[in-house]
Amino acid sequence: MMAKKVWRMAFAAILLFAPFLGLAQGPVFHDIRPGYGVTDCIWLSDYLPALRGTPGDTRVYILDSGVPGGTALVLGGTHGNEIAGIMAAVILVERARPLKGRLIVIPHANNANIDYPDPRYPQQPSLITLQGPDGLERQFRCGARLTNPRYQGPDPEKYINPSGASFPGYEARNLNRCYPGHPDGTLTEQIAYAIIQLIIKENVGIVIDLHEAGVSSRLASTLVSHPRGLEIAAAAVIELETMGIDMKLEQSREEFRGLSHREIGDHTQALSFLLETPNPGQEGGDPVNDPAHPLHARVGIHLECIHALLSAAAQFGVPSVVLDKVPTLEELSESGLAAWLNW
Amino acid sequence: MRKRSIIGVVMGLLVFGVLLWAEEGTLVRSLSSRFEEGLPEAWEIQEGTWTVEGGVLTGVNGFLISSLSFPTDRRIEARVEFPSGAERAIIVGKYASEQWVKAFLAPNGRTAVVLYAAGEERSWTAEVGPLAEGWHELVLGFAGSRAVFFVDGKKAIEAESPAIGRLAGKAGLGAEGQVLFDDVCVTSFPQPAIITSLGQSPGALMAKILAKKAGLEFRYDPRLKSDALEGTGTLLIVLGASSKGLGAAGIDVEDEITRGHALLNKARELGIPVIMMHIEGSSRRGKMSDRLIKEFIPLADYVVVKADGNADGLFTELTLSHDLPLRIVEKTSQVAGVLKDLFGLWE
Repeated sequence: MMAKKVWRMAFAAILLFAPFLGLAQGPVFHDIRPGYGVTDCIWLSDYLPALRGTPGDTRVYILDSGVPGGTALVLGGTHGNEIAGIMAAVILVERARPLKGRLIVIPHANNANIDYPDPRYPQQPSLITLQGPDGLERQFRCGARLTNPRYQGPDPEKYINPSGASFPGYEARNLNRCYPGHPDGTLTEQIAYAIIQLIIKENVGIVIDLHEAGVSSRLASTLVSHPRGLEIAAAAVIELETMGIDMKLEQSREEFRGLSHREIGDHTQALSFLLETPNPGQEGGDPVNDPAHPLHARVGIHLECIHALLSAAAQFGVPSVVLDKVPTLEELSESGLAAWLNW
Repeated sequence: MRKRSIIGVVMGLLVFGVLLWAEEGTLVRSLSSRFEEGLPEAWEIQEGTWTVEGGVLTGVNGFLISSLSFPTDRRIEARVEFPSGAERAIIVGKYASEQWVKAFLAPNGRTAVVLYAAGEERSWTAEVGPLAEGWHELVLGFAGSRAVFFVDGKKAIEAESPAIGRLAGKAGLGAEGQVLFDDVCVTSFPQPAIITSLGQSPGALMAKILAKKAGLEFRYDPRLKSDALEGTGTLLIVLGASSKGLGAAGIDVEDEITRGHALLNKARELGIPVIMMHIEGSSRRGKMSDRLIKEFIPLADYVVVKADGNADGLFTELTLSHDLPLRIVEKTSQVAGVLKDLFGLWE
């Protein structure tokens, strides 16, 4: 009897910690509690069956208003350590109510990096705990920039991506160097390929890839736009500035092969944007409670940028996506991140 | 006989035109005085005492009139301060023989626009409330038959009369009692504008959006060549270097400097006034952007900068040393209002 209990506990422990031990080969599951805006929940592998059952498969949430309009795709977790993007995507899944058009959210675009403690930031927690009402807690995973090496063969000496660009070998595990991906490529290339297929098949008009950069990085507080979307991005930046959010605007260059803002814009019908908020965790600081750049404020900036881009796109004739019930930066600053999650 | 009389009339008109031209002075589209090095030659004391000290012009009981003439549609801006004993500051918007338009501001906030033409005087008055101590920004602008007087950015008076539209001539300042003036400029920026970039940053695209918002008639060409300037009213150049933008265009900063000089030379040849802007703030400063700023700002007729882009005072220094007007905005979005003002698109 006792032995049976021990076995059960050991089995439960293996299930719980398997992702961290690198034993799980299926996708990591996350504590995401869809709100009433979510009308369907599918898998990324629906767009590339080869991904099914692999650590690269990930949940895709559809929020369809039922009212004709455009389709927007928000990608969080391209880099698993850039947690404001992940949390902004989670808030959208749990809170947003589309009024027009359709929103598709992938909170963990590269789910295969989330169980890999980033060796470059050893101080970074692998779990973030948020306190809710009545002593409740929710935990969110914090991973790495790169795919867990256990899930992909050894890094090549030099990585030549599907567009022919050359990078250091480790970048073979960086989703944001692997676009437009390849159906028979590495796991990371397959993820990129599946995202591209989703964008094409779902007729996505706007893609917004949520990232973070070190506070002192020249990329911090930047909106990068594919040249086709540059005017929309400029209008969004002007609008954001009136709200006290200063974002630099940069256009995607031809040389940026493999990056979402370049390849999605080049290989699909969608306008492609990439956002960067300043994350102290990427420079040895506290990624959650830093007084100058707390997580809730960075999440708020991502959400305000998404709103500004969708509004600007509609002004420029892109079929519109209108969202309701998404907290503003001010609301997040007043009541914190936890208040906007489902408990 | 009939042919001779027609020739006679034409000749007479020509002679009259030349005389009128000589009386009104050379026609220009911009004049700026920051008074850093005394009273510029472009100003003539007509009455009273006018002195410059410490970069500030002091006028006592008289008028200072430009030696140059300006087109009918124009705007005159100046900063004024009222020391004790000051009665009224006067902006002379249009001044020709026996006809003029003047705007008055008293320290108690009483304002007036007075038109004198064909031996008759007509005035419009308003009160803006007692003025706080310190400097105040005045703008008197003309668009067609309208004259609009702004005090500290707020419209105080709008006057309309066909006679206003018919008047051209010189511009000037006046003082009743002792009044201090600084940063005086007269500009005339006609439409259509053409917006271009020097440095290929997205700032030019932002200017395009803001120009649309302002209701400006314009064309947009970030890589504008000098041979495409014909028919342009005003050249609007947005400065800001972006390695990504330059890379996308397949050019470098040196190419932009060459193109910029060609554009400015052609603009001067065609008499096209030039507004230069740096509107992306501190994030668009750096080695490459500063190279463009230092090269081209001295060649502008009017400069607009976002405040944090001028945190080190580079634009202040360049515009002061070249006697150029500088408009500082806190936010990029305010550029739409600046364009409305500069192009006479007042609501």
